[in-house]
Amino acid sequence: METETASMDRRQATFDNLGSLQEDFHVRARDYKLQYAHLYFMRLMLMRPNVLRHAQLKWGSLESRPKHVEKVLDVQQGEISYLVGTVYMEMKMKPNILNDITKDHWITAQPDRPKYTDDDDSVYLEDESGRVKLTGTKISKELFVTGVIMGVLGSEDVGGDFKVVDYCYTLPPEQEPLHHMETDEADKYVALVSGLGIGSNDFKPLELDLLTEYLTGELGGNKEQTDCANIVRVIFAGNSLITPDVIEDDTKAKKYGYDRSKFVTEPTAIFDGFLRDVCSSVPVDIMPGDCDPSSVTMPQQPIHQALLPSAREYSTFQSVTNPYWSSIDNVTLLGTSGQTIDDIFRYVKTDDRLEMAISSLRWGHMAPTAPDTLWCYPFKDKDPFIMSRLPHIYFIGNQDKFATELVIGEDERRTRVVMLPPFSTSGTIALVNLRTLECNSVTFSTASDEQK
Amino acid sequence: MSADAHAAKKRRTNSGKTPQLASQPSFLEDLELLQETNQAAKVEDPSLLWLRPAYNKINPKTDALVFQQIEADEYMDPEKHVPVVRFYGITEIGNSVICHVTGFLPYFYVPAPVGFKIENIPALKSALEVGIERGNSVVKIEWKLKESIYGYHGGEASPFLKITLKDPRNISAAKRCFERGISFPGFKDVTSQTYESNIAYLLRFMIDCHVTGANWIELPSGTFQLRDDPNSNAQINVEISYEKIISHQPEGDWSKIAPLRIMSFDIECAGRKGIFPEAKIDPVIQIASMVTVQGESKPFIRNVMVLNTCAHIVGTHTMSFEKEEQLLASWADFVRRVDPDVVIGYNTSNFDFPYLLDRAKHLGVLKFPFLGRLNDVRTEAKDTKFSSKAYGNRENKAINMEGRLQLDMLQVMQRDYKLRSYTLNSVCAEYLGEQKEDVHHSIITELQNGNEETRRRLAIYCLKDAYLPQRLMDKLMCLINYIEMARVTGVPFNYLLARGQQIKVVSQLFRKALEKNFVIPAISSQGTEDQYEGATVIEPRKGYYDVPIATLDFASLYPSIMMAHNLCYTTLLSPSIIQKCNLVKDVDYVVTPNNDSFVKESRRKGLLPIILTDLLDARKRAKADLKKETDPFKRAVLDGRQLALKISANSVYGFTGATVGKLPCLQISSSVTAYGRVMIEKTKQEVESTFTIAKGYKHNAEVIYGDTDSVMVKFGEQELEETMKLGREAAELVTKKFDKPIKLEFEKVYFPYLLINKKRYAGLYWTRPEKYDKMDTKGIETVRRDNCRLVQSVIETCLRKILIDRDVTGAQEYTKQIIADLLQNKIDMAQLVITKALSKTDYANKQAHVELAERMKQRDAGSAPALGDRVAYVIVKGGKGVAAYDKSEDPLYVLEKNIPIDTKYYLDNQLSKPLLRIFEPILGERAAESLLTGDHTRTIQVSTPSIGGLMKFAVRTATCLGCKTPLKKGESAVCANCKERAPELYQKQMSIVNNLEVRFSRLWTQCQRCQGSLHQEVLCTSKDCPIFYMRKKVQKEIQDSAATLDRFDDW
Repeated sequence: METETASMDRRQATFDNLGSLQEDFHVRARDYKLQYAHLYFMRLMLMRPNVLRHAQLKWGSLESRPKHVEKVLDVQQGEISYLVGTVYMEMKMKPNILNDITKDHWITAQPDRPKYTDDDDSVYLEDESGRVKLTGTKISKELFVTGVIMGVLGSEDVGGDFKVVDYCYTLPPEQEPLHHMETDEADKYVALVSGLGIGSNDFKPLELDLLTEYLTGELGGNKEQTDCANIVRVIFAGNSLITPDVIEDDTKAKKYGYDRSKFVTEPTAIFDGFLRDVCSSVPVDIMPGDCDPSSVTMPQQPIHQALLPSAREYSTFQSVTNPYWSSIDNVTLLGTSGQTIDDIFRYVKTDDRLEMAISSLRWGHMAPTAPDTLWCYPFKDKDPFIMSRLPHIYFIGNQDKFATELVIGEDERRTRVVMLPPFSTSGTIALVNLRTLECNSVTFSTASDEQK
Repeated sequence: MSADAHAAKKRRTNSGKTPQLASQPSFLEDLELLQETNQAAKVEDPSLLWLRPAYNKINPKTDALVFQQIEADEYMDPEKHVPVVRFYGITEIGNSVICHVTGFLPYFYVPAPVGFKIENIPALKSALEVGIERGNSVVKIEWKLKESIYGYHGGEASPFLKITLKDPRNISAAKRCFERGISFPGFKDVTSQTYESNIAYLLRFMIDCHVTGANWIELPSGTFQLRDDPNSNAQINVEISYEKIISHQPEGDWSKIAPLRIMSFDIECAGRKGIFPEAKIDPVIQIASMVTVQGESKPFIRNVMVLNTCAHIVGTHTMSFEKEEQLLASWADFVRRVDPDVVIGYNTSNFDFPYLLDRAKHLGVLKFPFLGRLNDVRTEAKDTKFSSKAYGNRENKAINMEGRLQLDMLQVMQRDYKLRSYTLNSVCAEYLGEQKEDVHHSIITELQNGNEETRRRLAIYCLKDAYLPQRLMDKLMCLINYIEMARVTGVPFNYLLARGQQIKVVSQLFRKALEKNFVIPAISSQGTEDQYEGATVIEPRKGYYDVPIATLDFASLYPSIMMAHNLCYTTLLSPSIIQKCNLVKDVDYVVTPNNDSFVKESRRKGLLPIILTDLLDARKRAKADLKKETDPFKRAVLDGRQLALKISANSVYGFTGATVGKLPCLQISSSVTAYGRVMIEKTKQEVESTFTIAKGYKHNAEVIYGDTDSVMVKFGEQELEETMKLGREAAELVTKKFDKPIKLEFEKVYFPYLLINKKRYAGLYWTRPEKYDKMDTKGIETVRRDNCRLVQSVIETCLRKILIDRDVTGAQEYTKQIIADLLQNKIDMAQLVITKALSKTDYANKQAHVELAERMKQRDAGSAPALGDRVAYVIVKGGKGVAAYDKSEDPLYVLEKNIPIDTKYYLDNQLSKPLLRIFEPILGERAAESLLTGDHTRTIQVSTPSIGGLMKFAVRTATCLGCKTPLKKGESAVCANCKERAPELYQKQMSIVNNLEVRFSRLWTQCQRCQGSLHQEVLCTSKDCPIFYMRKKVQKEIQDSAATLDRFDDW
């Protein structure tokens, strides 16, 4: 440290938590008298106009002049028309609590099927009036999941099914225009990390140390340190902590009616220490994931700050929800800790998770399978999972491998989609350039003790 | 075109991949194709589908007519005053036929009086005419040589008089004449028993013409005439003389089934709150119908008729009516036009049809009650009583619909399946594996009074209920199995549900008797309560066997005894005949262990053994064909047949023993059971004397239990494979000691085996040494309806742990845990709910469910259970001396008010007995009882009720979540001392909330799926559904737990 003492300053960026967009993920007063019908209803109400507009654009001027039918059940046999509704996937392999509880209790829970798919799955389109089965080659080829709002063109056949010849989703939502910054200044970056996995078997303390050093600018030479100074924010997309399963404490004598679980505090302490180091240098957002000590249903509420007593002392520390909306230097970010895509994964035959994330952009919805198979809070008058704004950066945590694609839409709309692998198994994080939306991965490995 | 230009432009701006645009042309092609097919397939009026396929006019001179008859009845020709048989049938292409068969006259036999000569016939004829008092009723009297079926008389036929009458209704009068005594020139007061005078005309006809139930009939060309019948709904009406018809036995190609039209329907009525619908007051608001052609997987007609408007339902023909009268009239018209051959539903005989008929009568819809194939016969509901030893007493309504078969699936289920509950919901859960949405009838009225959308919702519910009986029938193969039963036993289809077991044997016995020149006496049932000794039971050596136990079974034991020893009416010997004919014991005849004598086969083969041989041979053939057959539909028919044959063979023995029967013969039935007892004993002896160490085997075999037709042998071997070998060896050895066709079979090994008592055991069932087949239990009550679900699941789990996991300690631990959970209120309420039907309110004794219904009525008459509803209740804590029936409470009320459950009741009255029963043989009495007392029963948690008692005076204070001390001001979750544990306590509370949240999500999304709509609220209140209470409970619990978690907010 003696040779080059020139201290570098961390670059600053403006930050905005996007007001109501983000606030919608917070569940303040819980009411469990509600049912899930409201959520589906709101989703349809809010998304239908844009899907319909898309449908009209697409099919309104066709020669056959298809008619828009407002209610699914008003479809007339033999008339070519289009309708808008919610997709429902009938799949017998979906987990079914009725089967689970009527099944004999002694059988240990069956291993989760990686997929719900089966040959006789069928696709339905439903609105507040009823549902109709969709058929046709278009339907059997494409990937569908429950909860997507979709428009279909076709007609009812003699059997009462709706034969689909084409379909469409919502028009892409609005996107904030990207401001091009002056060129003489170096580009800023946001660092995306997921699955630190502290407390898991895969957890490697040395790699975490490397990450700390990297993020705080203590690693590598001048070049690396300059790069690091350009990182304006670090987002941890879930599964930072692995809360151990409640283990029975065998040291206590078995006593009926008393709790024998043991509580392991060590991982939380490690994480707290790590955050203290990182927060002292760069602003940090932590999102909960399915393994973190947070609620399990979507949207996951922020990890309680009191669990991280040292980190909470820093103003740079922010515990946020999953999913999470934010804006850095007017670049809109949307991220989830992975459950949304993990659940879609079970519905479709493909294993390409990047494709699923891109699909969800096209659907205009980040978590369509909630509440059907992705547990979620029974919202009454909103659906916070609708992408009412198109993000510039859309990241998904805890995926099988690093993958990324820049999705380019109409009117210069661009979205950088990033699939983040868990750090604990891959040692990989992602850096996204806030000006160009270019994305690179950085991998730490204790095996060669070098950063790639 | 503009669309294309637009697309092209887009393509240019986006150089990236644009898969949607690339597929545009193909989608346009699809669209064109769709437009074309639409024009072709557009159905203007769905009611055009209703009519049967058109038929080509037939020419009776050149064409033959072939049809499957499904029902038959008789009527008197109004002009000729002779009986006519009327067949209702379907041709192979689905045309309906009514065929009038003329010329067959009823008859019966009397033995010719001593000294009677052919010359005496005219005198007898006139005397009989006088006796019958109807004038000109005797057609002829013929001299016939016949033999009475009852007893062996040396094998010679004796003279009988066959008396043929004009009118079947006069048979009983004629019969009485002979029983009272009849005088005619030369004879005074001749009394005599009549023969074959107690069989219905229709069955007589079918027997004599070799027509079996639901078989194919051919009318050759030139033998029949077309009839113009304004009163008939059938497409083809013909008339033929009975000698001309060809009846095809259901073999080979003739085992096919015509394309029967099956209509399944359901009605909804708008009841008033708290009152079961009454036809005089409450309107019928919807009728849903589905019509399926037999053998096809989907209904081709799906419609619903709705009072008032109803929003369109995809794939369904929805018809709206302003007036209920129109609705009823249109439905009746629909039935006549669709002309179903089979009408099914759930509880249609006792509810839907009587209700519709009463309602139509009340509203004056005159055209309604003509639902059969004959326009001049009114459909009515008549009360019938049906009493049978096998099925118990039932009071039913019988609905007549000429020419249509009825299969009320509720009656089928009650008859053929033993279930915990027979609600459509639980039956579907059991056999179709799905829960059905259950809308309470108070909500039905609300939905009906809403708008077209709510009525549509109700209509969907109604349609589902109309479709379920069809699916149930397909799944259980009821129709095919019943048709095969009718064919095998030869009785008309409708007898199967309306009559008992006996008539099936009677039909076969008469058929065989006719063939072999026997006549059957008409015995008036004496109704004696003579009990004969039943099957034997080898006293069980109770216990838990951790070695393989081989089970040896006699295949079809009773039928084979009858065959082996030639037991029959026709072979029964009286001592006087033995003397008269100089018969030699063991050469000419055998004496049974019951001391009855029967001639040997060498003298005469008995009728019953012949019938049984035929049945069992036919079953062998059916099973062999079944193996070869690949077509699933034909397989179903064959499987139905082999089952019908097996049941028929087994019912013959019961017939001979039925004291209130057509032809009881206790000598036969007692001899059969006596042989059975001897055989079981002998098997035990043989096995225990052969498989000994002395004879070179490793162990001494031991018969630990035996019942009716099986013995359980402990060979002492530890190895499954070895035991199976010994089992096979033993079966072969013992079989050799008995007469053919008696066969002892080695079927399975139980390992381990828990023998609790007579007819009560459980074991793991092995047929091959590699892997067990299943867990088998007998007589261990898991389906008893007055048990709560907890009993069933605990017993099952214990048995599995003991038998499959071989973990007796684990089973004990599990039991203790469950008992501890029960006492600490941790068991899910749904597990504790007991349900009973509220069938009448004036039980002699006070009953828990009746008392509760009364109390609920006082709370809220609207939601209280009405007569016919099932009442669900749990037993709650009551003060000392409160009677059990007063401790019943509505589970929902209990959840809301936190009323403590009487866990002791559940332990003492529900769990303890069955638990002791399975643990006693393993642990011994003492240890078993300690399961119910021990440490685990010490901690008890009782919920704090929000009503009654001292709760009015109690003040709630927040306590520390760590140590339960009351919190001071400013502390919201934990006290100062527990501050350090806060993260731990927080995470604990978090995991509680998380668990509940997952439950909440899974339960409510499941209901959303089950009701088939995502956008509408769940209304279902099915108390039979296992998640109903869970759903309610989780709502309450999660609200409370989340509030507790919120106490950490300021931390």
